[in-house]
Amino acid sequence: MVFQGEACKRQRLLSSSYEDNSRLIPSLPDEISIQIIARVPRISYLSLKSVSRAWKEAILSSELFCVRRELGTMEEWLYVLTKVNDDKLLWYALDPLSRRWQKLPPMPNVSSEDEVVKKGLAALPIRMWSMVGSSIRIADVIMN
Amino acid sequence: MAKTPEPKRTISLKPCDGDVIEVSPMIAKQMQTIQSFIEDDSFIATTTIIPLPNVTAFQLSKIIDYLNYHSNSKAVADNVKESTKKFDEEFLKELEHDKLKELLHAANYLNVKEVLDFLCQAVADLIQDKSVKFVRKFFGVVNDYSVEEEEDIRRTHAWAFEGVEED
Repeated sequence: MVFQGEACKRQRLLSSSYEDNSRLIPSLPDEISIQIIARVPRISYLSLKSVSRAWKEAILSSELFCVRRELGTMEEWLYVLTKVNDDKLLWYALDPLSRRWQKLPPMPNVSSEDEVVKKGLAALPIRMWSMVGSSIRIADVIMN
Repeated sequence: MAKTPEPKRTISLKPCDGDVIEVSPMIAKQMQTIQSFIEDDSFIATTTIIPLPNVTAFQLSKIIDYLNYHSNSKAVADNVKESTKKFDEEFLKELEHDKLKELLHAANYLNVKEVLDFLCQAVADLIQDKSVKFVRKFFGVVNDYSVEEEEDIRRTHAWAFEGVEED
């Protein structure tokens, strides 16, 4: 075992017993690959999920977040549910590290009027702050 | 565990190319793979040369350089942080993408945690803003998604692909 830390040991043992072709990175044990992925900012995970099925599985796994906790790179995001004009419900996420607001995919079975989507992300944060008001303090807490 | 006093002599490592490289026991100790050699009862420091068929002389010297620098700078406090940072930057500057990846393999083979941690971070920094295509190519990962599945992920997270460096 290269990396210490009892908490995740059993899971790591499981993951390192994979066959070569289902490895995250063919030339490296998954244990090391997870150490690399855990050091990438969370915001990159959404695109990294497309690398392969194994990557998607790893990114969604509790093992990865175990490692991130050990590394102290949890990166908590702030999620805000907003109700815009026509009772349309939208989730937004703030990544305090990159200070980027992201619109989450619309929830299924919720009316989907695309006009709000097309207005672009730039205008949204202001509206959101004014809607949620005191949540600035929440964001401050998370950033500390 | 009963231990004889640490021998003062150096440890001889033979990379797959080039000459034998001598390292201090303190440096050798940080390489778990070497450590297990040394702890073996039949190991005699004066005559035994440890062969490293998976490590090149270049990689071995890089790893030794890193360990040497960092073990020396540990003794001093905060004021060396700047120069350590500079050393780390210079260290990586000399490594092209492939060399970085190969050095990671070597560090993994030698099982040297400090260098592994450092290189994992370096590789993470390298891929964080790169396209999925770059990441696959860099690591030699085969895309096992169907075209439809991949398009589906892309569509669901369309915004996540904004601001990605082209390669």
